Amino acid sequence: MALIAIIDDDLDIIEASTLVLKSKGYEIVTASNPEDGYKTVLEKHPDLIILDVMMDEPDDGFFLAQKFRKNDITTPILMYTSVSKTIGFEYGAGDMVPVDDFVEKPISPDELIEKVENLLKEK
Amino acid sequence: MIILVPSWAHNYDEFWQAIRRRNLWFIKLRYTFAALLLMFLLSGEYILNFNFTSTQIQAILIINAGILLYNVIIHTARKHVVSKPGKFNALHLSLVQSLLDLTSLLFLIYFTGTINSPLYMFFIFQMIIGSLILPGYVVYTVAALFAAIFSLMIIMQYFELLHSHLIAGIYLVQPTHNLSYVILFILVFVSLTFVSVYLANSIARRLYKREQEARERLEALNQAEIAKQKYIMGVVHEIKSPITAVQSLLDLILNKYVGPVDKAIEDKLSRARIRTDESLHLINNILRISKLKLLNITTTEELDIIEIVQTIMDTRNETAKAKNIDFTYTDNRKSKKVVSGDRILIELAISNVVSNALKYTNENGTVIIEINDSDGFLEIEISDNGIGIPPNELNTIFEQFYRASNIKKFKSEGSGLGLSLVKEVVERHAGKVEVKSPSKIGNRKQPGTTIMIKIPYPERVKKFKKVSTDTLSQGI
Repeated sequence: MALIAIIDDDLDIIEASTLVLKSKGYEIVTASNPEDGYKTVLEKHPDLIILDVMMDEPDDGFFLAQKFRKNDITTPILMYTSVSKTIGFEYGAGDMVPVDDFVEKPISPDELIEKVENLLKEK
Repeated sequence: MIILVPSWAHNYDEFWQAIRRRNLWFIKLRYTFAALLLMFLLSGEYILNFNFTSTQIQAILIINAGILLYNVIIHTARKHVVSKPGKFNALHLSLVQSLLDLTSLLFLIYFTGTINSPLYMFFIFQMIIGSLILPGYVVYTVAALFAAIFSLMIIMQYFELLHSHLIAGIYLVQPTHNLSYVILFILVFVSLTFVSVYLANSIARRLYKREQEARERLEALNQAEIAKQKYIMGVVHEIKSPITAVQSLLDLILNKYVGPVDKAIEDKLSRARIRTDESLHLINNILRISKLKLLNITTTEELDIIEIVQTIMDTRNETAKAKNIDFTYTDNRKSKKVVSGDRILIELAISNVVSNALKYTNENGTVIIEINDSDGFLEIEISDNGIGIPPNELNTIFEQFYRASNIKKFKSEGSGLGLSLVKEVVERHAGKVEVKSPSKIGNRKQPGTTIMIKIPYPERVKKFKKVSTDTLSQGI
């Protein structure tokens, strides 16, 4: 079964996502800051990365996503956001934001599973 | 070169604009004055029998020609005059104008009788005008200079060193004065001049300063508002994070990811889920309002209103079905003119109104959306036969956090931010929101509400500010 890395500074979000994905049989590794997240990805080679935008950190989620791509880590990235729809600004996936899909917080279990399945299938 | 500019006005555009406007105003006044002077000559000669001497007629004509000539020159030159303190600027031009006017006036007074000339009163008028633009010390110097020259002329006239060009026709007896009258006249004239200059100058200066202060305060207020909105966005965002976590955890339990849940507990958790949803709704609305206040308008594109309404109908259909509400829309427009604006915001506004209509309409009720053309506006009219709004509260429903008294009893949900957001969005698009209760489909028991969102067609919109995407991404 596929291995998924969840990188988020909110432990409750990590726990909720972990439970949902584990129930579908996925294996999970987690990290609660970008630095650990980067290390985890390098060590465990997950099939999918779930990455929070983490706007509070100086090295935020966007930065980490760019860092992965710069270092030739092409693992699909699913990004958690809490602002995109709210203020009418849709992020476009692209060079600036090299991620594959977005999930708007709060996370609906069904939506999360659907998006994870789609990204793993594409892979 | 004398620096005429007060220190506080050096880099103050508004000051220069005011000076330039006043210069132009004086130029126009001067043309009028030249015309009036000619009329004075003509009517004095042919109607009022002033009996001008030929010297007077020639002199007045020459003075008039002189005024016209320098006015045309100034009129042409003013466009090339800069607004910089160090160079020959608009204020120097004002000073030149003032000096030329006063010289013309002195000649005019001389050729109409000096002490006996009724025209000397224009001198006071001149000084007041000068005081409106020039710094105090310059006006005082000019006033002193010209008052001295005029006084000297009067004294010379008294001692018959200067010829008296009386307007013969306005006197029954040749006027003669003794020295006391001359002294009194000079004293009154000089004090009148200086008091006028003092008053006009201090008023003008205070006005300038007030204007500048008002501007600075307005600027500070704007900055404060931006800072406040950014702060609100930050704080609200901080609040949003834990609530999203709570909701994610609740969803986890309610979707049985942690195992079976007791029915009683599930009911309470469902209730909690509704309340977190409600807070998120409120938070999102606050974020939207703050965002709107930070930016003038986000994007501008042509809007397909039918498509927007259709999208809203699709997302709300389930709610309507659950309450068995008759939920339809009609398009009454003859021509399909396009409006432009921010699609997401407009959809948000309409969707907010529709969601209110569905929320406050009882089972088996009706909610209709009509799209009309009305006098330069695209009108989206949302009517229901729900609980309506009490007449005395119709004016306050657009205020932030306001909830009508009757809905507080009706249901506990709702933040009271929806309609203020709708208003904000629609006004950003130069549109209007109107409310009627009872609505046209209401009855006595169910008065209902009609909300009209009016968005102007492009020909009505004078200016549409565009904001580039980089400002848009700021503050997210």
